[in-house]
This record gives sequence, structure tokens and C-alpha cells, in this order.
Amino acid sequence: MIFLTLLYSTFKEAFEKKIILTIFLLIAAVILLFLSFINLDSIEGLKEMLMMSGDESFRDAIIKFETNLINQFSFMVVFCLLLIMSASFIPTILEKGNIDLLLSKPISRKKIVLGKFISVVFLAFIIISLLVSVIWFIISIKTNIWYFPFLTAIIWFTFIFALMYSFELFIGFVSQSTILSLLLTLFLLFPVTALLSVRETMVFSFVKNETIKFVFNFIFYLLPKPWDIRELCINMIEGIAIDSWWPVISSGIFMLVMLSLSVYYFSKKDY
Amino acid sequence: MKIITTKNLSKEYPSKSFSKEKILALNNFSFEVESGEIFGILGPNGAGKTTLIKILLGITHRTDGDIKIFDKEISDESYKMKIGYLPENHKFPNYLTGEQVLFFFGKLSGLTGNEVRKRSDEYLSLMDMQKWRKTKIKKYSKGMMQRLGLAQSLLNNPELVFLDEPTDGVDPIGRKEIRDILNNLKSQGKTIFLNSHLLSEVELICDRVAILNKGSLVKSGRVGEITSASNNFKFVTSEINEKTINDLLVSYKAVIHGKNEFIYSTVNIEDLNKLIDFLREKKILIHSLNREKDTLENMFINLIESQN
Ligand SMILES: Nc1ncnc2c1ncn2[C@@H]1O[C@H](COP(=O)(O)OP(=O)(O)OP(=O)(O)O)[C@@H](O)[C@H]1O
Ligand SMILES: [Mg+2]
Repeated sequence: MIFLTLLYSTFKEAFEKKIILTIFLLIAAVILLFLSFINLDSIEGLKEMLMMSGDESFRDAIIKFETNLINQFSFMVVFCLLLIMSASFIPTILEKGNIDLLLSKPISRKKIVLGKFISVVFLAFIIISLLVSVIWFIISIKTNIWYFPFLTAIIWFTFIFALMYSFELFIGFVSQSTILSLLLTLFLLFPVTALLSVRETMVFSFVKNETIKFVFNFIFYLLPKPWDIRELCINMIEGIAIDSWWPVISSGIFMLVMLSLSVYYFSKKDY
Repeated sequence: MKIITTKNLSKEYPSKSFSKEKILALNNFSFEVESGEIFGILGPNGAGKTTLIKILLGITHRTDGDIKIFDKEISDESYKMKIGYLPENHKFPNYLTGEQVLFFFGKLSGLTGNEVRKRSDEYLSLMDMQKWRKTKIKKYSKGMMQRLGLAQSLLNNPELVFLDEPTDGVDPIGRKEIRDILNNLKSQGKTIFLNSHLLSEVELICDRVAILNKGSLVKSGRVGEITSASNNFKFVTSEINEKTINDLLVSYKAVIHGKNEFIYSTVNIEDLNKLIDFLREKKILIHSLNREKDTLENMFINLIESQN
């Protein structure tokens, strides 16, 4: 009941502050661009060429094409947008005159934190679902290859969003500042976790010092691993066996720690 | 029955600057509120009035002391079902309409959708806000916001209402209306706890008051008791000639306000009657004679000034 009310208020806020409108305009723009791109003759030519060399390889090429859409660049853009969209929710409820009233209602502080978290993640889930499924639908209808595992990207993206948002939420509670929580979260996404995810393949070829390597590894284990989960997601879509679930598990732990810290901090604080 | 009981309530805020000294917003504050009364907290700016309400509502945590509301510890959230609260400078999300504000906070108070709709109607009419209900509150005036805030605080039919400066920014007619509403609530057996700077208003409406200064209780009691009668008697008479005025000044130490008005101070009723005899002898007509009462304001100002 309380969760529904908080969900209602979050969606209402997103709607009234034109957050939803902006996101939808951006998604529409991306999809239009994508449509014009997929209509190019060269793609048509490629399609015919692949068709001739057999059904299977055409199918593989389309799957490859789909997973290529989840490249580092579009991943970065999507998450920046989602984090910008979600940064203001916590500082807004903490405004003087509003938080007093909220806390005088018969709801525990824990429920306010979790209710707000779930509401915002749900909002992101809807946006991600739309984005992923519309693009998937366009490709499928064009090529007549309906590859459903691509839709699992919705789940993974929502999970990655929840990870990053748990951090943004915590900073929001502590700093009560939209800008600060947004900047720190974006900084965590890029460069921090991005560099950590390539620490073995790239960073360590420059860094030889064992202590620094140890520090890198240590921080890597503590922090969430959005980029590793992105790769894991691509592997899963392509049907490649997953050799370690560790990035998912450790990131999940990070999220739980962030949420517990938020609940703890919020419960102790005077407003 | 006691609705609120506190014992030795204290609150320390960490100080803002780098100095070690802490801000003592409440200092060993003990008081009780009876069921069905209107209880007022008075005090200068920064006395700790808002802090007190916030602690009672669990918005701010106490440093020390005991609190019982409805005979229960406040760690048990359930008492908040029976409570209404109007914060000072409340700030609702400004993209909502009046109606939506009531809906959102009513739902959070645990009302069902139907209950909220029914009671919103009732309270919006009571506050004379019906025609603004579908307007976004960013277009509201200060007084309208205050009326909406009051409607919000009463929506869940609370047994105990906390009002932090309820008439702030409301015009005199609106203030009168709010007083009527509060009196009406009282007649329904509700308890009202209010903070106000408007002493004349507190005097009109509160049954009991507590005066708070720098976090400590200075005085408390029934309004009639703490504003004791003064020893000043105000005479309004027919015109008094120069010579008699001189007599009044010299023999009676009266304070002359004009040719037909003066104030005489005494603790002795005999003396008062002697003065009346004297006036009658001089064929002066007494139009009225009143014993002046100390206003709450005078008492308050004297008290706070003597403390500082
Ligand atoms: N969150 C806070 N952090 C630190 N100090 C605070 C905080 N809130 C209040 N104070 C301090 O506590 C004291 C009491 O403040 P409070 O708001 O309770 O006063 P008040 O009696 O309501 O004043 P006013 O009549 O101006 O509303 C003040 O000295 C204030 O500076
Ligand atoms: Mg105050």
C-alpha cells in the first residue's frame, strides 16, 4: 500500500518534471536514427549476401549485430541518461518542509528508503524495456529473425541500474545534493569501474608495481562491476558459457551494503 | 487523561561551526498535555518550539529524556495513525494540485482512496478552498498554502493535532476562521498542541500555555492564571477641572490620560472606594471603572526580558 503510494508519487514527479517526456523524446530520436540506419542500401546488400551463404550464418550475423548494439558507447550513454534522470528524487524528498511531514506519517524510515529505491528502479525498468524491446522489434521485423534471448538485456540493464542507483541514493541521502550524487555516480561508472574492469588486460601492462596492482584488485572487489556484467550479458545473449558469476554476486553485495547504509544513515539523522 | 507526557527532555545539536560548543535546543523539559485541551507553546525565535514538536513526532531524535504519547513509547510508530501535523514552512511538491496533495499525504496516513476523497471534500469546503482544489499549488498564495496545510493535518481525523504556527500568513478573517475550526475540534474532544508567536491569539484560544526560552521551561499554566490581574484601575469620568486633577496627581498618584480619563493603582480596595467618594463629592460622574488585566504579551515580554 505504502509502496504503491510512493510509486505513484515517483511517477508523478518524473512526469511533472518532464523527466519522462525528455527520456521518451530521446528514445524516439535514437530509434528514428536507428531506423534510417537500418534502411541503408548497404545493410540491404549485406543482408542479401549473407542470405546466400546460408540461413545459419545469417542468423548468427544478426545476433552479432544485436549484441554489438550493447557496445561500450551506447552502454555509457544509456546509463548516463538514466542516472541523470534519477538523481533528483532523493534530494527532493529531503527538502525541509517536506521531509518533516513525510516522517510524521506512520511509515518507518526503512520503508521510505526501500520504497523510493524500488519505485525509481521500476521507472528505469520501464524505460529500459521500451528501449530494448522497440529496437529488438524493429530488427526482428526487418530480418524476420526473432531472437528472444536478446530481451534478457532488459533484466541485466535493470540490475546494473539498480547497482548504480543504490550508490546514487546513498550519496543523495548523505549530501542532499542532486549534482553531487550525480557527479560521484557518473565518476564511479566512468572512469572508476571502467578502468577497473580492464585492469588485467590494459592497466597492468603499464603498471608493474605489485602494491598498486594489489590496490587496484582490492578496490575492484569492493566496487560494483557494471562493465563486467555488460560483457556477461552479451555472452549470455550469444549463448557463450559463463565462467564466473562473481561480478554479479559481488555487485549484488555492494548494492545491499549501499541500501543498508542508506537506511542506517536516514534513520539516525535529524530533520 | 494525559495525552502527552515528557520527562527531562533534552536535545543537543552538534554546532555548525568548528567550535566545540553544542547547541542546547531543549534543556530538561518536562510537561504534560491533557486530553481535549488546546495547549500552546510560546517562546522567542530559536527557543526550541519547533524542535520540541519534531521530537514528539520522531522527526528529530532526542538526546535524553522520556516521552509518552497516548500512553506509549514513541518508538512504536503506530501512534502516528492518530496524529495530524502542520509543519512550519511546509513545502509540498509544487507541481501537485491541492487535491493531489491531500490525496498523497492522506494515503500515507493510512486512509483508503474513498476515505481520502470524502474527507478532502469536507475539509476543502471547511477551509474555503473548494474552488482552488484543481489548481497547482505553485499558484497558491501564502494563506492558501496554510489553509491547505491545515486541511492536510486534519484529513485523517486525528485525535491529537500538532500545529506549528497555524495562522502564519493568514489574513484576520482567515485567522478567525481557523480559531473557530480549532474550537470546533476541541468541542469534538480532540487535543491540539500549537506553537505561535501571536500572543493575543494564543490568549484567545489556548486553555494552557508553556513558555519556553533558550530550551528551558520558564512558566506554564492556565492562561487566566499566568496573566494575573494587575492593580491598575482605569476611570472614565465626566470632565475634571484643573484643581481636582492636581489633587488626583498629588494625593492619589494617579496617572492622568486626559480631562476625563486616568489610571489609579492600589492594592487596597478601601483606598479605591475613598477615591470614588472623593470624585462623587466633587460632583464628577463616573462613566466606567475597569480593573486592567495584564495581557499575555506584557507578561511574556517582561518575563523574557528579565531572563536575558
Ligand atoms: N537541524 C538543526 N541543526 C542544528 N541546530 C538546529 C537545528 N534545528 C534547530 N537548531 C537550533 O535549535 C534551536 C531551536 O530551534 P527551533 O527551530 O526549535 O526554534 P523555534 O522556537 O521554533 O524558533 P522560531 O520561533 O523562530 O520558529 C536554535 O538555536 C536553532 O539554531
Ligand atoms: Mg519554529
